[in-house]
Amino acid sequence: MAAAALSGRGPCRAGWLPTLQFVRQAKSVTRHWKAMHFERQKLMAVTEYVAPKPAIPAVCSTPRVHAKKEENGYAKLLHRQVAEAFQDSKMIAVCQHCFTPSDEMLMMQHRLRKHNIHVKFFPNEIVRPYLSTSKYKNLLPLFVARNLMIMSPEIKVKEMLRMLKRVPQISLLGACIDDTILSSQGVVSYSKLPSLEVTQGQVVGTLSLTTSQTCALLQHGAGHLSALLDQYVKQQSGGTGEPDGQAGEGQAEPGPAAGAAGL
Amino acid sequence: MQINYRNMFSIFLFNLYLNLFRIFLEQVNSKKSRASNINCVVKTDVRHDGTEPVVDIMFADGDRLIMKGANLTAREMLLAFNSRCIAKGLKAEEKNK
Repeated sequence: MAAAALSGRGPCRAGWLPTLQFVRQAKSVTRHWKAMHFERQKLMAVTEYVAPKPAIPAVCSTPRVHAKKEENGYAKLLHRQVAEAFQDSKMIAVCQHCFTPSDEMLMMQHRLRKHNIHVKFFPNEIVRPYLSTSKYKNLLPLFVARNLMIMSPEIKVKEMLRMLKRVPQISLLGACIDDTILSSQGVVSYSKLPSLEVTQGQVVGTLSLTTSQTCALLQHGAGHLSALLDQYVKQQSGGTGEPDGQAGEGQAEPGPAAGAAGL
Repeated sequence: MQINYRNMFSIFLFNLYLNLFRIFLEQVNSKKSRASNINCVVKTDVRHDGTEPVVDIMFADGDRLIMKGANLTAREMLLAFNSRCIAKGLKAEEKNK
């Protein structure tokens, strides 16, 4: 039947071999990944879907939205701490912080703490934005390399300088004391100033000295004249009472007598 | 960059206000550098009067290196400093041999 059907399909050569021979040696469904047949690969590549491109690319038409970087929680905390520290302290000193052994650093911090002076470390990236918007703009150039800040609600410059002398690795760069920016030499001269009460007393003394001098100056002329007249009267009275004894004196002093005659 | 103070006697820095000098000082005063020669004295003098910044280095054999940093970068200063330290170190080793 099959042979008749085959033979009925036109002239077919007996024993022809088909051009395509399906070899059923390898399994098609495998547990491991198996590459597609090469022809199938070619077919898949050729028939791959290519999406239609718009005339104006989406990159040009839509505006770029920069995602806002949320600030780290720790950075926010540091910002707050910096703001509080600057607001609470009257004396702010900035120092260059080179390597100091930890025990020396601890001792220095301990000694300063006794005088209510705090040593604070803040990264420059946190401090600089705060300074640029606050009244301490002119301290910005100091915050470049490794720094440490010495802050205190009271102004105790002498104690601070004494502690800093003991630690040579930390050098004072500048300070802001009572809203006044000072250089290191300025801080040293500030420490040598007398206390406020002593200075006020000196000012009062200088002012009162001038007024007292004016009073004395005004009275000086009249006083001098009265003294001279007294002296003259004494001489005259002395001359009339003792003419022999006072003759030499009278001859020795013809000037006042002539002056008296003139008067 | 590690700096060795093997043949150093003292280092004086003047007018530390400039940034590059602060960087130089940071490198010079680092832990390893200081540990290489404890006897070396580093003195700093901070001034704001606009004078030229100067680094004065005295070596143990009497040589003096003066660096005037008005137009220098920190890297150049460190390189010059380090090269001289290394040269001195080599000389000292040859003498010991």
